[in-house]
Amino acid sequence: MRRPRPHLRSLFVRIFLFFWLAMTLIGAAFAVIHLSSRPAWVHKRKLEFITVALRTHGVEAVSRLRQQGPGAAHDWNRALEKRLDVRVHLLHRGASRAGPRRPNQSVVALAAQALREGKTVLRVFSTHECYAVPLSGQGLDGWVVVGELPHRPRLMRYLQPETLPLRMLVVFLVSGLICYLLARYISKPIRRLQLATRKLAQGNLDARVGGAILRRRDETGELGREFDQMADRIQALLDAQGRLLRDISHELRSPLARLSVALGLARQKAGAEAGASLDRIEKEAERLNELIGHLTTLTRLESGADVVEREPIDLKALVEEVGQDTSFEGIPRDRGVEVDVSTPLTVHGNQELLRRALENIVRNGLHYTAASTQVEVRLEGIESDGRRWARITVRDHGPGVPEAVLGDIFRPFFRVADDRGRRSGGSGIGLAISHRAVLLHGGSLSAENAEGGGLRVVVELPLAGPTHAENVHDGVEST
Amino acid sequence: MVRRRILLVDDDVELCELLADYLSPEGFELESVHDGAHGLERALSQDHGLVLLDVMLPGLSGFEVLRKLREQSRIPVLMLTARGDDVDRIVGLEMGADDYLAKPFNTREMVARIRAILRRVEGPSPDASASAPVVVDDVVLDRSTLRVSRAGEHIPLTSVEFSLLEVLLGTAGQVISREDLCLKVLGRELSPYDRSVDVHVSNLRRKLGKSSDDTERIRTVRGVGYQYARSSRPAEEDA
Repeated sequence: MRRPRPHLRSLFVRIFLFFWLAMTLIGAAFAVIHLSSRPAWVHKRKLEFITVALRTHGVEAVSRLRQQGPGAAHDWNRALEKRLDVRVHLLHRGASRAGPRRPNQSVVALAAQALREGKTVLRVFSTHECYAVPLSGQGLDGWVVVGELPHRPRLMRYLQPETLPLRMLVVFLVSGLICYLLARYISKPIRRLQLATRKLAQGNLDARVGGAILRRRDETGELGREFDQMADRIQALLDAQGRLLRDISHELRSPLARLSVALGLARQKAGAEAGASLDRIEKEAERLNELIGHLTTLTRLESGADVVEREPIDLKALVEEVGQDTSFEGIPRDRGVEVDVSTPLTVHGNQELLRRALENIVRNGLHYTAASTQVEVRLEGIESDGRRWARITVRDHGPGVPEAVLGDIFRPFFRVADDRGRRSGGSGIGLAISHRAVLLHGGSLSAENAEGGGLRVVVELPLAGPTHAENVHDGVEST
Repeated sequence: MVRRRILLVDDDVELCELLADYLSPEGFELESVHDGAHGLERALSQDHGLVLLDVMLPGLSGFEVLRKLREQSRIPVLMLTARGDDVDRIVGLEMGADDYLAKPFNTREMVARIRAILRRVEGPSPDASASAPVVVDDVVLDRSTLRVSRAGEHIPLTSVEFSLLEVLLGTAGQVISREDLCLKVLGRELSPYDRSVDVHVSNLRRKLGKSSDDTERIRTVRGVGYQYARSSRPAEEDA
């Protein structure tokens, strides 16, 4: 079966999108937090290393200043700036003594702080880090070296443009994969539950959730287990009901068979005057027989035992035969059956069942159609849902059925309130048998009131090809 | 007389007793057996002219009895099938039952069917032509020995199939209606919804196989009946 495409509003898509969005937002939130917080933390070793480097540089600078004058210290600093892009200021007790540039206020303040605290002081600005290192040793009291190390703007530092696309891609893919798996994990068992529910609702009592869901320890697992228990119970109840019906009809049959023979015996022995009463008994016994026969057929159909047998059936011939048989039956009552069969069509199924189904529908029409009218039976091929179907329409010219109960006429023993049918027989199960038989062939049966009066019953059967039922079955297995 | 002795295989003891009472004034002697295995044994004893066989039997089912019986015997069998069980009915006929009766049944109808079957079995018509074999193309039907052969090869037929073929061969080349076939072969009027004739025809078709030019020997004439088709080769002498 084609897997149903996840709808935009499906649980799967919702969970997937919500979680993905959540993960992306969390990522964005971290970025914001990072940007807005002060990055006061610098690795201790880096600090030590820079301290040593600046101190060495500073000691040399002080030495050059003393021996060769401010120009030499100046050049020494400038060389470093050229080579490493590090600006160095040499200060003595708050006054700049050498440097390519004049130190600004913050540099001076930092130098003062370093002098006070007697250790390296660090300050991070938006474009650079400023290290103030107090010199110590013979004749070096009061000297401070300040180095301004350039660094990237904080945002750029955080984003790191060289690896940004790759990282974004990784985040995107990993979060997408995880969210997809999560969404699937949640929605897949629900989908399976839904399929099982649908099959059960369609009357397939064997439908169970089954499989891995039942082993899950979460809520869906519980739901699955309880669904299966419910289905078991429903099936058991319906089986019991069907068995009861079957047993009843079977058990009634034996006494009825004996009754019929006893009736024959009575006829042999009784005089002519008992004849009318015996005829009456025989007629009523025959009614009971017919009812039991129909009940047997219906219970067999409900158990679905007969459908296993699938042979190609020539629908044209079948409809014609049914037309002939029923027409023959209608003659004494001045009613007829008119068959309009155009194309030969083949369906797969059980010929006797389909024959019975059609017979019951046509006989029902014959039963209600007005005197001197015809029941019109029509067979045609149609196409819908991308499949080819055979459509058999049976239309009578009777009183029709009230719109409100049109859907009920295929229920066993359903009778329209003002039905005069009981008088002339009819077990009340015929159409139920037809309905069941058509469903078992993967078809559909519907009834409507025809324009101009009368009932129109429409049977649609899938034409030869893989059956619908098998398709559904495959789909469940693969999902 | 064997012909008048009927074997009833049915597990309903009371029904058997009632039927024995009923059939005795009609001129039949009924022997009742209540299970399949015993029924099969008695049916093979050649003491009876006809077997009434219920489909639903404890132990060996009616169908199994019929299948085993048909391996050795052509004794006429009237199946008693459950009402509303079209499939059982067809299966019974396909397996070689001569006719069927839906149970519960009308006793008069039962007697009529028994009589029809016995009449058919008893009576190859006494006139002289009856003894001459009927020959149509490569099929030979010998009334005196009740044997049918195709191209010299024996084809085992049940008695009802034999009668059906006899009628069809007798009218070879012409269309014979289902009504006539039913009357002549099953000895009763064709009633609507009754497909017995058709099942027997299809059994016969299967046993006879196709003719030399790969067409069905028995053609269906839709809406009318059946026709035994002569081979398209230049006809031999009329049978």
